[in-house]
Amino acid sequence: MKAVKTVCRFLIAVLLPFVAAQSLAADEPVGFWSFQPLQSSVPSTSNSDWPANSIDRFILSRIEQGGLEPSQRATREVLLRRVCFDLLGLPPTPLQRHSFVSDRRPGAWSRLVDRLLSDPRMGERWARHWLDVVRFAESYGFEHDLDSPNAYHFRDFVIRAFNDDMPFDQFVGWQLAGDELAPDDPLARMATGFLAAGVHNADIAKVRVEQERYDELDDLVNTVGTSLLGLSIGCARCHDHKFDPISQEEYYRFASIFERTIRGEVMLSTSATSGSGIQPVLVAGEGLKPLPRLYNPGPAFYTRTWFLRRGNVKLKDHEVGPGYLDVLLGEGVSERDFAGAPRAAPPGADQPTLRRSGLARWVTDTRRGAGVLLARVIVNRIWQHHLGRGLVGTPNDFGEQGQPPSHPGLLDWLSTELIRVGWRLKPIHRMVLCSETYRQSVLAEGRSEQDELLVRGRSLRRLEAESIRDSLLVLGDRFDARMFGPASLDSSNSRRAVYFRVKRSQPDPLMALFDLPDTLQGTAIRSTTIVSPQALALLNGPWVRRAAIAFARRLQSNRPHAHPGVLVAEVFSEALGREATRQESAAASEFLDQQRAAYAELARGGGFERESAQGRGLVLHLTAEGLAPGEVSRWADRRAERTGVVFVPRGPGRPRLHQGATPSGRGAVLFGPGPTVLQAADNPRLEFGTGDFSISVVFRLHPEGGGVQILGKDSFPGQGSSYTGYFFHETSGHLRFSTRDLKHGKGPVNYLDSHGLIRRGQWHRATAVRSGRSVKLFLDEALSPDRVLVEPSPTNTDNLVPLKLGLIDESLSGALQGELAEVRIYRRALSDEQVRLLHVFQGREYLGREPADPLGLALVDLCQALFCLNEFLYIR
Amino acid sequence: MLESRTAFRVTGYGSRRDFLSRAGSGCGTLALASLLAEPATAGPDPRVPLAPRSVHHAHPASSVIWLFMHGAPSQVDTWDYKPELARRHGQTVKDFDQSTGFFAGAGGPIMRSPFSFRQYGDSGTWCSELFSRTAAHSDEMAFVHSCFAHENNHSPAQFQMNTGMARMGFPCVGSWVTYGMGTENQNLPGFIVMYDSRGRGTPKSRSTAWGSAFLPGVYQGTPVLSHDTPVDNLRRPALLTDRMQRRQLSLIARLNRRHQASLPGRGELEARIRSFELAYRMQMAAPEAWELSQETAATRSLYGLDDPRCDHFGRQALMARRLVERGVRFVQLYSGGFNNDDCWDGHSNIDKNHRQFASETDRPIAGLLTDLKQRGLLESTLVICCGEFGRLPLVQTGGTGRDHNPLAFTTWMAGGGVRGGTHFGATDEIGMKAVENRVSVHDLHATILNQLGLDHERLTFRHNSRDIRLTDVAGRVIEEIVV
Repeated sequence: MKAVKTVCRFLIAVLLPFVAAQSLAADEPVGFWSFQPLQSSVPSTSNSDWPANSIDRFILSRIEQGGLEPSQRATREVLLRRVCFDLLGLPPTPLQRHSFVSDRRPGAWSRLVDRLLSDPRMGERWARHWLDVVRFAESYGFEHDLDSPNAYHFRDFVIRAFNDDMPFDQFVGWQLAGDELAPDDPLARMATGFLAAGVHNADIAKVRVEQERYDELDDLVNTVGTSLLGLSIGCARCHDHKFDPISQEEYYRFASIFERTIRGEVMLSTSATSGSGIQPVLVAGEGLKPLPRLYNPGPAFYTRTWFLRRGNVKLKDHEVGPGYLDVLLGEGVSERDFAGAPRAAPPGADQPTLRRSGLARWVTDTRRGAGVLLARVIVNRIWQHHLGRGLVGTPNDFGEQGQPPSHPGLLDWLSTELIRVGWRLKPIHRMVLCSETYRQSVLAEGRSEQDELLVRGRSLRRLEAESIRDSLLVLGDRFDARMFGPASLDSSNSRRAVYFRVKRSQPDPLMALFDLPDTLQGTAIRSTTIVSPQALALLNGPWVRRAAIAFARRLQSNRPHAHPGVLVAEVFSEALGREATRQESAAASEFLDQQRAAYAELARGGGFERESAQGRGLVLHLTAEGLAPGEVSRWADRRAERTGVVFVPRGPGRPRLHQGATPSGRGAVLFGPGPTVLQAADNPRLEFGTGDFSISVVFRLHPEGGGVQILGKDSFPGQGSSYTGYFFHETSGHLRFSTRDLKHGKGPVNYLDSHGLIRRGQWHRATAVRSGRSVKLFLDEALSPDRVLVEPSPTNTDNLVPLKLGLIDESLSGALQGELAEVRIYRRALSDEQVRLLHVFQGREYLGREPADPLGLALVDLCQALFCLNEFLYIR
Repeated sequence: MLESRTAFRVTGYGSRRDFLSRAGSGCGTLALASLLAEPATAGPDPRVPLAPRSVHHAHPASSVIWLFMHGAPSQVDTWDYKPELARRHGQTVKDFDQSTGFFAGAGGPIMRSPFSFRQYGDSGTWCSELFSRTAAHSDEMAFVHSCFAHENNHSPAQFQMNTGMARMGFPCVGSWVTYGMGTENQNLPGFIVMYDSRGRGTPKSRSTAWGSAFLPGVYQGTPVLSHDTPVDNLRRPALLTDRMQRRQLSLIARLNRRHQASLPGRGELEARIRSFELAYRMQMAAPEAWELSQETAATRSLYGLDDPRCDHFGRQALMARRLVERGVRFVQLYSGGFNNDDCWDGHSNIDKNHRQFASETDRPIAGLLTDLKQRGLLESTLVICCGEFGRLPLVQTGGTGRDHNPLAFTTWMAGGGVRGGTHFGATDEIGMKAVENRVSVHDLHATILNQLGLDHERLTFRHNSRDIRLTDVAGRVIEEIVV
């Protein structure tokens, strides 16, 4: 029985307003809710203790009607993290945490909110929301996606306006007509970047010019409609709007407002933003020099606007003049009522039409124009970004196809407040953030659709791409706090992500992975996908790794001699904004110990030398040690007495000993200039049939070019009928290792190209290991195999041809110009671990690499693990 | 390490073969039982969103390789032979609507095909010299000559071909399919898209070509930029060994589970934990799948890897076979890159353009069909080949090319239970318009889903309170071309 009652309450509380709104719409389109005047009375609630302000009364009354209670208030730590991300897009600093959590005086929360509202990071965070909505980008899209290098001033304008709490009606008015409303204010002109941010086709045929112009107008009509009014006016391009009261005639009249508005660049003072004197700025306006195209097929605009049947430029019906939407015009009001005083044109220019300033007045006029809808749309966006879902669930569609408001009264109340406080947004933010509604905790048992509509409890919210990136920068103390100015396409830059250059065809890979929005049309709600490539980016991505290294270094340098337990506590506290639990701290400490031990083992380097098996199966070991200065006429295995392998020159050239060749001062054998090849005098030990073997070489290529064959044992069909061997050489900047067994033209040819690059003039360590049919290639520090392949069939590389150093085949033209410091060949497969130790050993011996600090490296792994946590990415 | 890799390969093959034999016998009893038990409308289990799911009905195909001829090949120069063009060469078509093509007003007189045609196979399929190698398989292929699109520009037409809708914001066929039936190999993405590896750019529809739109993100396609880096970030950071990374992952999992215990029932948290497990396995499985050096010289040559004209597409076609063999559900390949001259978009010179792109694709496609067949994979793999629309049989003024034509194009399918050697539908005598048994993109989609055992009217996803289908409110399975 109780269940039935609850269901009924739910129906009344949740569904009835929807049904009412819907049926109203069906009967009388003009009476649709979003076109109605604001009307709201704050409801009463039976629990009078909970509400902190009127917002809470609206929310609580519906929750009570549903027979439910709001969720409890979240803890201070949770609230701090939540509000910092919501307002600033950044994690709280330890200082913020300390001062808020320990502030036990009344009003701590509202003081915190006020502090954050005045933080300039707020403008950067909220600008990004607006930039999503207005399809902001810094390139023109289409096939060529040409850069728009001076578009960033619009982004700067938005940041500045949000930080200054510019009244929203002015903010909107300037974006539509800053050049007409405040021609002397550079910020107002920058604001028109709103109209200029859309795509621009730079490569069009003559026949497309007019169509293209109508497409540009369509972009403006569309963007103005969805971003400011939540209306899909663009749907009326080809026919009357199927659902909303917008006729096709109105569409073209609306488009005609922008008839002569084009994009161009003007020189403006940027002292209000990037502060660097006079700069070219992308703006929109009349009488500008149009943006260039690849070639000039026709005019940038037409002086007449036509009603196009089916949206087709060939089906011109009649000419139209500017006009707004009838449904949003007060009774007895016409377009003329919004016209401003005509202005004299500058000499030689056309009379400005001042159509956009009229539009700006209409859009913001709450009595005679669309101001009420404008207010509803923006307060809904504020609600959406703080609470996770708009009161209207479709923030870009307040029409019939959109969702009706879950709390129409609250939406209207907030809109009324916005207008009352002179269109300032910060007071609205403040009201929302200071409500108990905002401060509810996440419901432990999960949140139903009903809870979501009732705004009961809170949903977990995944950080947006920008916040993920910015957080990592902050934690690593690499955060470059400079505001404003030109953006960068360089993924490794350390400014906030809002200063990334938005190139339409080239989103930053890490950001794109975390659902950066499409910039062709405005985006109101970003998607949040979960795919494994995200996990790979966090686990293996070089950028994330660097962030973890920076974070770990900072923690260590803050507390140089701290006990690992203290470091663990710091990692949790900074990354998650809370203390670690005892179990967590135990798990993390154990992890830190184990990783440290593993790194220590690695750092001992001698690990390889001490490895009992390191000498097992070693059939060739060459180093420059013991060679006499000058020409090398004999290079013998270090234990030649045991193996008997000796290399002697082949051909007239003689390699020479290069003393102190390596960074650690070890010698090396220098090959070149000219072909200088060494070949094994006797090599039965260097043939392995189809069996296992490992070859390791420490080498560098001559910095100025030349042959790239390092070593090999390769044969030609002429030498018997087979074509077999194994060899190393460089190709296109990568190291290639090959095995082949091509008998009578049949059989496998196998090769692996290193993933890592071979840089001329730099020392490299490379090891190839064949184990069964699997071949692995290891390069330098890459301690997982750099590449792996499986031979399709057993590959017998035997050929009775001597192993050569500095050459792989018979043609001397590819002979090595470079140096070899060490060569090792094993008649067995080294394990991955052994190769790892070998490379570390070689790094120390030849490259003078200092072993890294094991605790530091272990801490990096811990920091990175925390970046991967759900708790790091999902905010309560 | 080696052992686990080998084991993966063996198991991968084993389960795949096993699956094939069940599928081949017309849906084994086990599968049928679970099919009956599970309501067909039930969505995927969010904990295992990509696990193989039982489908609506018995199905010959269990995977798809879709060869997208980007930029739109001309039907009258490939598979839709129109001798009438030569007879009426140079004549103007009365009542031609000049807005049909992309360049309004640029539709000139009829232009004969510069290519020679002949018949192939027992089916007597006519084909131009452009696809002579592929045409040798025409008895395995079913042709639909009467396809039409709604848009005459690339990106919207590509949106339509990939999502059913000519605007952005809808899931791709591959997303619908992996949503509907999961994928066989959990270590590889279920839906993989390979676009031009010669650096000529993405498809013109860009990332919409693999987007899952409102379907959960796990059903998004994985775009592959080149054969060398199948998935970004597969390599561990320097110094971190496998064992050490596993330890790191287990710490992550442990802390995540503790976190989740306080927040039960959140599908997204579970999915994210799983995404790390898959990521770890992908580190091993993905490079192995991509390592073409395991293929014999004969196979490599079959796909044209020894021919610099087509080795890039050949590599991708061979990769597609390897992926399907390893249980990847849906693979889509694009021939040609972004710009007009870099793809099949032969506006200015159809002869030069089509010769180039046919030489890039004919041998790899023929090789793919041969290889799939000889490995017994063709029966279970539906191969589809189409563009986003067709081209006009007229010359585009100012050159010797052809403009876009949404009114007619040919799509062919092979394997996966299609009836080899069939020709369905027809265009008018100059190949301008589909006139007989016209087939919409929705019909193609319905047929693709049908071959995979999915009923296009029952494969739905609730979005904004609407049950949305790939085929919107239309679509008919082309029964005439399937067994």
